[in-house]
Parts: sequence; structure tokens; C-alpha cells
Amino acid sequence: MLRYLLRRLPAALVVLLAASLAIFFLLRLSSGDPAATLAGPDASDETVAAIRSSLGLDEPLITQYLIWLKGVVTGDLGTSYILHAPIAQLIGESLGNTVLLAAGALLLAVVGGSMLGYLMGTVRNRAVQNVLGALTSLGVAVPTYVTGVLLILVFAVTYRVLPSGGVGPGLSDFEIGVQYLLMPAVALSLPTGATLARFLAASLRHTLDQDFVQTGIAKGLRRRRLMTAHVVPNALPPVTTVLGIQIGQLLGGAIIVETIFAWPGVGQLLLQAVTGRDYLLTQDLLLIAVAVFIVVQIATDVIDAAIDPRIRMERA
Amino acid sequence: MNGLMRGLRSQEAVIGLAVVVVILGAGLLAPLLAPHSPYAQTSETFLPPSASHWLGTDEYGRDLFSRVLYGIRQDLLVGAVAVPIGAVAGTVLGLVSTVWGWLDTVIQRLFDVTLAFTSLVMGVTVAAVIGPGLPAVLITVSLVNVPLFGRLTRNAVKSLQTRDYVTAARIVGVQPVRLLFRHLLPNALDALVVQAALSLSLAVFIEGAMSFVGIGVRPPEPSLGSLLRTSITFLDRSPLYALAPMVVVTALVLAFNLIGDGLNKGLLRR
Amino acid sequence: MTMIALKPRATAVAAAGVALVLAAAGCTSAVNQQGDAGGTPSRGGTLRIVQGADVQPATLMSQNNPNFSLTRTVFNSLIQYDHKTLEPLPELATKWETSGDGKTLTFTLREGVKFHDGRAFTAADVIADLEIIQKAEVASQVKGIAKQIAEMKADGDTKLTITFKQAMSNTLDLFLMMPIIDPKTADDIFAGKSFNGTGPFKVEKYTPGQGFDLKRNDQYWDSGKPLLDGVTITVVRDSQSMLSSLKAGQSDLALDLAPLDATTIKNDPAYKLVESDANDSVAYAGYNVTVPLLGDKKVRQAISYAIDRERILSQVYGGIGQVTSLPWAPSSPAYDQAKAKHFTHDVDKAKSLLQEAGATGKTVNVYYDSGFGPNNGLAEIVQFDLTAAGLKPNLQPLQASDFLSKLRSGGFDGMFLTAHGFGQISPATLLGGAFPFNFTKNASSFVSPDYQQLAEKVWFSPGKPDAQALAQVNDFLLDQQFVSDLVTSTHTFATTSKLQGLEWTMLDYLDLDDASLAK
Repeated sequence: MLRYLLRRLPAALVVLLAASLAIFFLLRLSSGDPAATLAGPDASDETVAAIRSSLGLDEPLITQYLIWLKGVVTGDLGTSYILHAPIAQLIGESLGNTVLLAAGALLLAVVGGSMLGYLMGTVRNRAVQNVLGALTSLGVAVPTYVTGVLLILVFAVTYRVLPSGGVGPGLSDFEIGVQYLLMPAVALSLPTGATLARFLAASLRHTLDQDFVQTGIAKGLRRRRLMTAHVVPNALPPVTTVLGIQIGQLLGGAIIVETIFAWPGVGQLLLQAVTGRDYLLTQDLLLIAVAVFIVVQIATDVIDAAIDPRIRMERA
Repeated sequence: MNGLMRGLRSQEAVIGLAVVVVILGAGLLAPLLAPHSPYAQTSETFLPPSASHWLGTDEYGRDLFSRVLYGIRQDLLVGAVAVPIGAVAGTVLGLVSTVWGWLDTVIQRLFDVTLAFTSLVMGVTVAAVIGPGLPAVLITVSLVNVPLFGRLTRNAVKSLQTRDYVTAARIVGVQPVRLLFRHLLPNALDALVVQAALSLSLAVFIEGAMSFVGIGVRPPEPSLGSLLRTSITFLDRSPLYALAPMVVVTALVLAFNLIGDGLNKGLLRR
Repeated sequence: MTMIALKPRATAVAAAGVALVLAAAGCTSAVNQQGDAGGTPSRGGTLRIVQGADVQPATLMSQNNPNFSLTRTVFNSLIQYDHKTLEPLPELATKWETSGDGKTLTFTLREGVKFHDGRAFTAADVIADLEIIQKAEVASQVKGIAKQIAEMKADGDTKLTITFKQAMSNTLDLFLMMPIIDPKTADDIFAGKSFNGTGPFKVEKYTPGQGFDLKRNDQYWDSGKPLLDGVTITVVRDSQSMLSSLKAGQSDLALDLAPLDATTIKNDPAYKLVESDANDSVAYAGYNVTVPLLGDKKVRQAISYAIDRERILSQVYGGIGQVTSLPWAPSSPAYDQAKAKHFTHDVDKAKSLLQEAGATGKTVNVYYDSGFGPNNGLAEIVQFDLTAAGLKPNLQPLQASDFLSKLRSGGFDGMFLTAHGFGQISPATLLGGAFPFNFTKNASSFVSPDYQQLAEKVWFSPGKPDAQALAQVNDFLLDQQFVSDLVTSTHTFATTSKLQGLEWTMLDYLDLDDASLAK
């Protein structure tokens, strides 16, 4: 396992380094002067120049890149020009909100998706199959920005039972906090849950057709024992792979969902950084997004390998 | 009959195609079909639906139906320009990577980097570099498609390279490039066509998402995503404002998915 | 599309389901936490403020919207203005006298005033603060006035004499605008590390990006005040979220909701939408007059006629404010009701003026900062109106920093849409301190000896500027149109009806001395 992990690492680091170069230098190609924003509308030129040099924006680009990289590696992410706050602190706060949202969504997706997927994979009734198939197709296809707005329209505007946006008191007041979390989490969970259900169903059907299952049935194994001991474990690996990919893409979904529900998470922070031309914050967040994706990918592969010995032998 | 044709005649594909033709046709013919200019402002804001304004008017008194029709044109543009560019670039890179081993490693890493920016993160990155707008959407959709088509082409060609007829052709002395374009690419085409349908669906999604979060098509240019975004402020006054772009964007995404599913089925049944 | 075309009944069932689950679990609904309104002013309690952007301590000495909640709650000024007459009112200064030639100003300072750290406030602090505002790296719109100071002298702790190089009509604006900070810790204040002032509240905690916890200053010079025990300022970066926080009972006061959000609570008795009477936010179109097309004042006048100000007022600002052709708020001595209505929406006149100037069909770039909601609406309406008059407007949405850097450097190759303040106090402060109008260097690159002469006549006059000079300035501005003022809107305070005694200064800084929360 460790050997397998070590083999994957160099390539991952190369990808991450290439991404950091691309992010840094491409961003600096674009114009815009954070010093002018900081100084405010009626400030003098000398005020702006003084601020620019205090931010280190007059250093050569390559120096700025190295300083940045060193900071990222040592955990010193710098200070946001625009929001006047240490970036580590800004990211820390919003990351908490995004993790809450993503965890809620993932919980809904895994529970709902597994139940639906299990039904679809095991129930042979044609009508049930069709309905579940159509529902999950919709779940995969309907964009999050459509479901999100629809949820608000129904539950916050037409029937005023849930708040239309904001994070509320969070988990400090669970009863209220969970009502704020409900709609964003549902919106974010739908594509993931539906994808999960479809893959689980396909994988279950495939496994059920395998010889060893047929043998098990012929040998008179109890259905329940057959499913829990043989079918489900063998059907899981492709599903965890898909789940890994989906988790890696949750940030993209979070950007949309956080926008709809004014949820102050990393996605909102990223959009704010981009539209406010906050280079430092933008490049930190983008690098983190890429890093998270890569880490999740590797983790997924490692988990797959752990579950399924065949993969480990094949790849190692 | 080949697999693709069979796929196109499947129930899914037929429904999908019908929806796509109707919606994109309406977008294409928007200048003829739209009852008003999508930009014409009046002081009559938030009118309810009527014979002259089928979906009512928006916050600047513009005709919503016309704006939705014109909004479809942005997706038409993204689908007709950005997806093909990304597809061709990806396919060429994928083909090239099968010829030389060292290039394969480089291109694979390049694809890895691109894939690590998931579609919307890529959108945000592009918008951060060149600024929000339609060009950002076009570039994002192209970039996102490059590794998708690249990987597919590469894998298809690699699996074909071990087939007997390829080995035979090589022994007979068919030139590598000729072999690639005359024999390998056509056989990889099936998978690419299915991917094209899915990519169009993805393109509609990305345009909507970028415009929705404010880094895509900019006002006053209408797009399905930006219409939906603006509509949130007015949900209590004018639910149709939100519902119309919702229905269209969902129908388009779903229809392209259906076409992809249909094609896939046709190919698998071979 | 079953998801979309959900039958009304099905959605009602689903909604009822959510409501029922909440009720069955004995839950408090997050939608309806709002308490009952009404009651008498009472002591104690913490006022919870939400605002859209974080306080920017570095810009404390200038008027900057995000600081409205902090400047007058933690600090004081020497004087305030009466909102109707603009007559000075005592704050940290109890008396002021101007010499006969108008060059010397003598203040008598309030006794027994202490900074939050316990140190006594003296005349030397005022002098040190004035020296800070004169520094190049400190931004302030009244720096121009401070730079006219020839001599400052403290006579004991409570007497202060300031002599200016020449008599000016807006000298007092400097003392209205300048918050009295502890000069010894000024750098810490600008860095957001500590906030030593004399105001009614002390800063207990500041978390950059998140907000402030303020605690009652028990040693406040105005004994018995403030009534509140504390104030929290929370940054909520979205107007809709501020609104839902207010409606959910998680805050008592939301600053500057987006106009269209603000109007949604106008008719709800549980809330008050307070519109500041300072009226100091004026939307305008500016023009780079060095661009050939826009160098012709006929074109600028045509554009001013082409723009439908009434539609901007109702469709962008939700009817809050009034249309205007001049920068002045109704309180300003320069305000002239007839002249404020000079430009009316007149497409034919616009067309013929453009024809005369040979500008019909020409392309003009229109720049604006798209990060600020109302600007987008402004831009869309202007684009449509200019097209209708026969120009080809080309919208150029920019991000805040790009917009500001181009505004400062005069880098727009066309016209631009944004807002200015300072129409509510001394006219000279607008002409000399607000960037769109500054006669030495302005956003439109408009340089004119005539304008400078007129502006200096308004500025360098002892006491109030004479009406004739102001009328000349107005006529000049209307004729030259290097700035086309469109709509005077105002800052708004959306509150629950529990909040009473909310006041604000002529610069829209919150004054919470008498604020209280009904039980």
C-alpha cells in the first residue's frame, strides 16, 4: 500500500507544481491594481504608490512567485489586500462553512444514493426500474443552480418554511442551524446522490450476474447473507471510485450553491477574490482547490486498493 | 447499419434530438420569432404574462420571452464554437501522444493538470485571468474538453494498436501517420461522437453556471444563466422570470444527455 | 421535466411536510424568530449591526462607507452639523470663534473628556491629529483644508488656535470630518490593532473580515450615555443575507441594503427603512473630456438629456431619492430646486444636439464598476437610452480595483458611471475634495481656468460663500456637463422596529448615543 502511494506521489507533485506556475503567472498577466482599491476613491497618487510598495507589488515577478511558494509551503498564506485579513484566517472561517455544507450534502447523497441504488440494482419490477431510472437521470442532469432556485421558490418564497439564505447560527444552535443547512445541502447532494445510485445499481446488477453469485444461489445461501457477504462488497469498488470523483468536484458545486444561498464558504470567498482582483487570495484558493482534488483522487485510489486486492496487485 | 445510426434511432436519442432541435432552432431563429427586441426597455416593469408579453416583462420592462430566446443563442455559440475547438485539440493531442512515448508522458501530465481544475474551478481561473465574460466561457468550455477527448482518443487508439489488422498494416509498411488517420481514428470515432453529445450537455451546464455566479455572459446580453441569477431577487414578484430559463436549461442538458445515452446503447448492442 | 412542473398540490404537500417535521420536533422555525415590536426606550442590551463590507481602519480619516458604523461610535469629532441648517453643534469642542479676517479659528474644548485608556484629551491631541491628516500616506477628502493650515497653537489643555493661510468657506468641514484619535497610537489604529478614542463605545474585539465587538464606555463624557451595553458589527457580504438575518431576528440593523431588497421591507410594520436625510450619494455619468467625441460639450449635454433619470430612480433605486442635474443635496447652500431639474428626459433634444455636434452614430465606451449592484442597472439603462438617442454605447464592466485605478489616472477612453458624495456639506469641500469635481485634478480630466476661478471664489471666502458665486458655479456645471449628475440617493438603515433613537451625523456616521432596544 505504502509503495503504491509513494509511486503516485511524484506525478501528483509535478501536477501541483505545474498548476501553481500556471495559476501565478497567468493571474499576473491580467491588469488591475489592488493598491488603488485599498487607497479608496479620493486618495492621492503618492498614497497609492506608498501602499503598492508596502505590499511588495513592485518586486520582480519571479521573486514574488518564490516568496508565495515559500509562504504556501510554510503555511504562511499572506494577507488579503482587499479584505484586510490574514488569508489563513479567512480561509479557515469559510472552509468551516463549506465543510459543513459538503458534509451535509455528502451524508444526504450517500444515504439517499445508496438506498435508491440498492433498490434499482435489486428490484426487478419494470415499472419501479423505469421510475427510479428517470428520477436518477433527472438528478444527474438538472443543474444545481436550477434545483437551488427551485427549492427557494417553493420552500422560502411560496411556502415560507425555510430561510432563503445565509448560514444562520451554524451548529451552535443546531435546531435553527439545520434549517439553514437543509436546502443548500439538498441542492448540492442531488447530482452526487443520483450518480452514486446509478453506479451502485449498475455495479450490483453486474455482480448479481456473476457466476459465484449464481453458484451461491444454487447452493441455497440465504438472500440476506448472500447480499451482505458477497454481492455488496464486490459491487463497491467502482462505486467508491465514482464517489471519490464526485467529492473532488464538490467545490465546483459549492461555488454555485453558496452563491444561490448566500452561504459564506470557500466558493463565495473565491468568487469574491476573483471579482475583487485579490490576487493573493485567488491564487491561494485555486491552488488549494487543485490540491484537494489531487489528494481526494489519490485517497480514492488507495481506498480502492485497500478494498479490492485485485487492483493493488494489478497496479503495483 | 452501424452502431451510431442504430443509436440515433433509439427512443432516448429521438426524444433528445427533438428537444434540441426545437430549442436550438428557436434560438437560431430568435430574430424572427422574438416579438420584441431583447434590449428594449420601457417603464412597464414586471408586467404579468399577456398576449404581447408571453412571459411578462423584467425589472427594466424588457420582454422576458424575447430575452429567453436570445439567451439560447449564447449556448448555441458555446456549443458550436467552444466544444468543437476543445474536441479537435484534444483529439489531435491524444493521437499525437500515441506516437512518441516521451510526448505521451508530457501530454498525460498536461491532461492531469487540466483535469485537476474541475470545470467550474477552471471557469473561475479563466475569469480571474481574462476577466468575466463570454470569452471566458468559450475558453473554459474548450479547455475542459481537451483532456476528455484527448484521453478517450488515446485509450481507443492504444487498444486498437494491438489488434491484428493494425499489426498487419504495420508489417505491410503502411506509414504510421497514415495508419493513424486512415485506420485508427475512424475506429475511435464512435466513442468520440458519444463524448461530443455529453460535452454539449456539459457546455450548456458550464455556460449557465458561469453566468449564474457572475463570471460568464454579462448584462445586458441575456443568457439562461444570467437570467436565472437576476430572477432570484424577484422570485416573490415574478416566478415565471425564474421558471422559463430553468425549464430551457434543464431541457437542453437533459436532451444532450439522452442523445449520449441513446448513442451509447446503439454502440453497445453491436 | 417532472422536477419543474411539480403540481402545486405536490409542492404544497412537500412544504407542509417540512413545516410538519419542524413542528413535530418542537423546533423553533428559523423563518419566524422575529419578536414583537414596540415598547419604551430602555437601558442595556446589545445592538447587532450587519453590514456588507468590512471596516477599513486604514481609511478612518476619510469618509468611506464601510466605516460608517465605527467612526462615530468609537470616536468623536470636535463638532457636528445641524442636519437642516448646517450650523455647527458642539461635541468635543464647546465653543469656536472665527477672527474678523476669517483666517483664525479658536476652539474651546470640552473638559473632562478621556480616551478609552484613561488618558485625558487635550488640545495637543487635536494638533497631532491635524498633523496626521496632513501626511501624504493618510487618505482624507479634507486634506486640502488641513494643508492650508499656517500655524497651530495650544493654550493650556482646552484652548486651541488654528491659523490658516487664507480664509475659506469650508474650514469647519475639516473639524466635522476628522475623528479625534489618540495620536500616540495612530499607527495601531490604522493597522486595526487597537482603537483608542473618546467615543461612547470601546472596541472589545476586532476580527478582520468578520467584525467588531464594542462595549459601553462607562467614562463617556456625555454622562448617562450611551444607553446600550454594547454593539456588535458583523460583516455579511451579501444584501440578501443581511435581509434574511434581519428577518430571522439575528440582527437589529442592516446598513445599506441593496435598494431593491430594502424596498421589500418598506411596508412591513415589524421593520423600519430609515433613509438618511444627508442625501450624500449621487449617481453620475462622468466623461473623459480629452476623448475627441466627449470633448464637445454639446455631446455631453445630449447624453444628459438622453438619460431617463426617472426610470433610474424607480428601476434601480426603488424610488429612494430624487432625480437631479446638480451634485447638491437639498440641505446644501448651493442647492437650487429649479436648476436641479434642468435636465429632463428629452430624446429629441438629445438627437438634435448630437446631430449638431456630428456625433450621431458614434461609438462611446461606458465604464462602470460591476461589483456594486446598482451600477449594473445604471449601466443597462444608460446603454439603452444612449442607443435610443443615436449613439453606439459599448458597456465596459470593470472590477472595483480596475475601475478605481482607471478613475484615478483618468484612463477611461470614454464615459463612466459611478457615484459621489459631499453634496451635503460646504460646497467648497465638494469642489476641492471630491474627485469628480476637484478643480485642480478631476476624474474627467476637465481643466478650465474659468472653473478654477469660480471654485476658488467659493472656497476662499470668509464665512459662507455668496449666493451669486454659487449660482455661477451651478450654471457652469450645467453648461459644461463634465459630470452629469443623475439621481441623489441616500444611505439607508434597515432596522427592526425595536430599535429606537437611531441617529447619524451629516456624514452618515452612526450616532448611537441615544439608541436603545425596546424590550
